[in-house]
Amino acid sequence: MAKKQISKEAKKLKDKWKSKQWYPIVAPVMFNRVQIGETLSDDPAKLKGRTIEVTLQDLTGDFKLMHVKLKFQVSDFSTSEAFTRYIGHDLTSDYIRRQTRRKRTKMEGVFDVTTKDGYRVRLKPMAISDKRIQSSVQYLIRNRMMDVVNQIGSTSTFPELVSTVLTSEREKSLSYKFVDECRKIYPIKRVDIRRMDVLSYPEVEATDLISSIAPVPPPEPEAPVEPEPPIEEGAPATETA
Amino acid sequence: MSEKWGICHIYASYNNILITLTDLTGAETIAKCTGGMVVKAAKDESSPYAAMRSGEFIADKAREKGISNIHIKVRAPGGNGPISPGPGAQGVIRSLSRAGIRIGRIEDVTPIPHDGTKPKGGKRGRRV
Repeated sequence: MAKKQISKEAKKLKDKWKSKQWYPIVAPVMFNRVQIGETLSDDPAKLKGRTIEVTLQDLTGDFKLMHVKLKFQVSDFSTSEAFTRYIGHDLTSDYIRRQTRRKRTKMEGVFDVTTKDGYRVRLKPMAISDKRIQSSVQYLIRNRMMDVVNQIGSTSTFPELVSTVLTSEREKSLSYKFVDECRKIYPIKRVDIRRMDVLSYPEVEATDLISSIAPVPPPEPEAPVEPEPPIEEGAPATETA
Repeated sequence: MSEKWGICHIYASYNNILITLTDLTGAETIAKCTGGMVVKAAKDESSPYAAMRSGEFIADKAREKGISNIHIKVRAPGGNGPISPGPGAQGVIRSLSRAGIRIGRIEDVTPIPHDGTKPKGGKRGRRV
């Protein structure tokens, strides 16, 4: 019984499989438009809204950044490619679990900022101390983190913010800035930006601004949105169940 | 990119094991298999043997469709249930790598509540 069902399903899938095509997924301009993966579809219009997770290690080659997962969502497509935008990052759960131990204090905050170019972004920094801290000190540290977020959020554009959050360079990094600021209150060793979410995008995305900041080889023109690819008459409507 | 990547979602509970192979976005299913599809007895559905067989099935399908690299996402029931994956999770990963599929990242994606609902069993626990 069970076997029969498998073979039947396999047959059905195979026909569908032939009608599908692989589309390369392209990272946004901020990430130099590298190809981050491939996805499968019978109709490029179905690509929109799909999300893909890539580690920062895949993009930079730095294996220390294996625990940072970047999320991209397909926002635009052409007949041969899917274009994405950055929707935030996350740390792997095992990394966070490794950091949190007994007798340490984890201080987390959730801060919303609006960047200069109109992106609303939610940042969730996480500071971890070596020893247990009094809650009054925790309160001060959290407030200091909020000040840093507000200051940096209102003075930088979205691509700048993303690069300060994700970079591992000491001078530019936002997490080191947190460390420096928090050290004035208590010797904190490490602050991670645990999570970043883009809450809303501006009406018109400032592509000129992005391409002027990010080191892009040649700024390619935005691919025009295909109105509707012509559907072949004979092809049956293949709607995924 | 000549070599295609996929994601293998493994849901390993104590009663069964469900494997779904998708593309990198998780929107397109490429193959799926469960413990119940490869063994007859209901008690064996979550066994390492069933996991091995279903892993081989998935590996065959993957190779047929031209996918040679796989990221793995393992999960247990989670929520208010057990948070450690069942006995089959390891077996699937082992049989996939035995079958010559290259494995990228392995990640635990068990849903952990930030304090949710009360587990079943009542105040005094399950009384056998």
